[in-house]
Amino acid sequence: MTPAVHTTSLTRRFGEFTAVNNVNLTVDSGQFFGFLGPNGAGKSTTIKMLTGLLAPTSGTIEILGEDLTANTVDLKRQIGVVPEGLALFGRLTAPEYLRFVGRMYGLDKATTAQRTEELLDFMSLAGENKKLITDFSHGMQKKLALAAAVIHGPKILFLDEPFEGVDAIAAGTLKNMLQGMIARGSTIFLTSHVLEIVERLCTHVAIIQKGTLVAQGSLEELRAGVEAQHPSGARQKATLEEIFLNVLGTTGTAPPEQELSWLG
Amino acid sequence: MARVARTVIPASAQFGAVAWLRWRLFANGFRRKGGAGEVVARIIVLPVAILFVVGPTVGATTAAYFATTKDHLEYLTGIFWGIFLLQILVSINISAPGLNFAPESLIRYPVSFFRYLTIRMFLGLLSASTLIGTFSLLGAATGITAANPALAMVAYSSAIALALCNMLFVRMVFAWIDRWLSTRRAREILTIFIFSVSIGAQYVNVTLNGVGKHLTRAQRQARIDTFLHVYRTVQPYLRPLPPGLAGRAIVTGHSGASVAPVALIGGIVVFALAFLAVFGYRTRREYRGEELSEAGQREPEKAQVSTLNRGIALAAISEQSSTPGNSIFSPLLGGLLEKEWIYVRRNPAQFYGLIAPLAMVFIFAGRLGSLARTGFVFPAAVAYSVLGIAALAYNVLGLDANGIQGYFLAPISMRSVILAKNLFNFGVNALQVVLAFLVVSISYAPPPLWIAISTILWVVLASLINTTIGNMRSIIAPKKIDPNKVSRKQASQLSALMCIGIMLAVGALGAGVMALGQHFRMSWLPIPILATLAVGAFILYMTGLNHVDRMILTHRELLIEELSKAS
Repeated sequence: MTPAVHTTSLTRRFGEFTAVNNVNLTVDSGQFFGFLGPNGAGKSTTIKMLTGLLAPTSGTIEILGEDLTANTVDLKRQIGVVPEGLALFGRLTAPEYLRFVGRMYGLDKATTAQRTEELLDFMSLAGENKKLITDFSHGMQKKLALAAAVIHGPKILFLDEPFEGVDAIAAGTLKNMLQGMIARGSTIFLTSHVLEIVERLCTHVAIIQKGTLVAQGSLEELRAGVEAQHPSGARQKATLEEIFLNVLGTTGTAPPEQELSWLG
Repeated sequence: MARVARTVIPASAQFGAVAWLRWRLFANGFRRKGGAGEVVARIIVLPVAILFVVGPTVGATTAAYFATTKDHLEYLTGIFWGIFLLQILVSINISAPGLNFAPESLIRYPVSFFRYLTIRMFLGLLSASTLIGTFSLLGAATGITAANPALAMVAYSSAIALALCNMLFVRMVFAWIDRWLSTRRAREILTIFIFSVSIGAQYVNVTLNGVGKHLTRAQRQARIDTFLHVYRTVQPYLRPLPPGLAGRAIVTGHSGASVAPVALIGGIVVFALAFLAVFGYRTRREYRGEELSEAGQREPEKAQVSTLNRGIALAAISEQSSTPGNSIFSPLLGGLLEKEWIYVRRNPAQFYGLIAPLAMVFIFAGRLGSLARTGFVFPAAVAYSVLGIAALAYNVLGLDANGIQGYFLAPISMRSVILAKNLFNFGVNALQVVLAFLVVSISYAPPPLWIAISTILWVVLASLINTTIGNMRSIIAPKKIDPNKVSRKQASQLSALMCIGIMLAVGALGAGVMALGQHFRMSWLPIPILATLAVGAFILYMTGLNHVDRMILTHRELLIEELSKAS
């Protein structure tokens, strides 16, 4: 089966600094894929490259089996993105923004209007039609960014910290929506610092550290790897947090334990 | 491969969406708090803006008309060069109308490169420089046609081709400048370069022209002859360039040639296409996702906020500390002033904004011949320098952006914060006065004592009144400032207008008081009058400052919302 996302030796440098180094990543179609790493590890830079917002310094990216550089326009129609910083237009209202996005993706006016109404209703933003986006709370902006990312029915969804700042009720709604998309055959690629959410949603995970991919596989594979390193008899299944810390510890990059003695 | 849809999105849908986006961003801009004031300010400014376009247009029309009627068609090339240089000058000094969004944000949508290039071409097309350049060229064509209707076709064809060429040249150059200025280091180098060129220009000026000499008629004629000599010398080298081609197209058209004008206009089009190609190359890099700024490595705004937090922390620690510091200011004010200084030092745009008026004083100081003898160069130089930075007082919290919340969280009074910002601005004003005094004293002679004292008192008066009103506007109409943009508006349109009005009124007051002293032959008279007014202004300022805490508390929500909002 053609992978939804496949990168070969993906590298991005900013001057002397290498943000992403030689990353070989494969995400199969229909997977709910978690992309993890500490702050500044290269997650957002990778997502920017995978969505065509940032050119790689070297390496290749294939989306749905096609080269992203050669088929940018067609492939962008197949993907939806909630980028870092959301990239909303603060001086539009939510319906105006969704109308703009729908038209940019080539949806006709009637379809755009219908989906706008449904999405705003689904995201509990229907009562905020007159308000400018800049006046939305962070959580509301996040929900709107997600609505915009799916309005054209993408096959692959890239989400950079989608649950950050979203309330528990909305987070539940979003999770249901995302799982529904997976059930219908879409692929979701998400980054999150909330490992419990990743563990609950994702079937496959990759961990990036200082621009280098240090682990990749299904949760079970990664868990088996950790348990093989620490055979302690009848212990409970390793959590994703334990896997994450263990992988970072293995690579020698886990934060040192220290105390701030002057803090009361 | 068959999984990916190949249907083409109609171009009209995407172009229409972007046009509609621009319209909605513009219209919704007036819905925000203070939107009505912005509408009024724009209506007031509109006639002035129109004059900026009409003036050069009338000038070009008249000049081209007389050049044609006097049978001096060779001067048309000079007129076209003048329009081109004016267009460049305007594009440097007046930024294009705010787009309210970064065009690069459109690359995440399925837009083809050709469409993206087209959108990039049309966004910002209604800039002051394009309007002035295009209307002036069309005016020149109209002047030529009015003088000789037979030249209508070639004149308008040349003008339109040249307008297109000039516009593409400006777009191309600025696209590359944006590329070169994408790093802070490059911006710092540019700031140093501009400053050095300004000083160098003054040095050359003083070296060639002497200091404050009055030119005789013969000397003036000699200069005109020199200028024409230089023009004739360089003209052969300028002939192959677009303004030269346009001028020659009309000259050859006038002499009855039919092929030559077409070939020459074709040459202009070739230049235009070359500029488009270079612009397209740069845009293609952008389209493919070239990260220009340092944003890929770190986030500049967060760096700013981190500096702010350090300043606030210093101030808060200082306020709680009982140990007096060595500074002449309290430890609290010292911490806040240090933060202001770090902000200016790290923002070349801000720094350049402070030194640019003074650099202009350097440039023009040697050219104020008749004024020099009256001793009024010093007040004129000071008024210009102070006016150049007056608008800073009207949005003192703008650069703090969402760091404003740090002030509310820290155990410091907002009165102290505003006072520190005011003191910083007063310090900059004082520095401008000292430097202007040195420039004038070296270029001419030190101003008479009564003029020097009156000027200093006027600056105190103007700064206090301006700052009092500016503090109110900073709280009532705050505006987030992007520190990474070289060209940006410092305050809301209405605040800027109010600032100009107040400075003009205070300037007129100062001039009136000085004229009064001259009228009664009591040159010392302005000193007590201005001193009294300055004391009154100080009382007014202190009264305003004492209300700052209450005002900010009332407008706290607005401040946080405006300064923390997404662009």
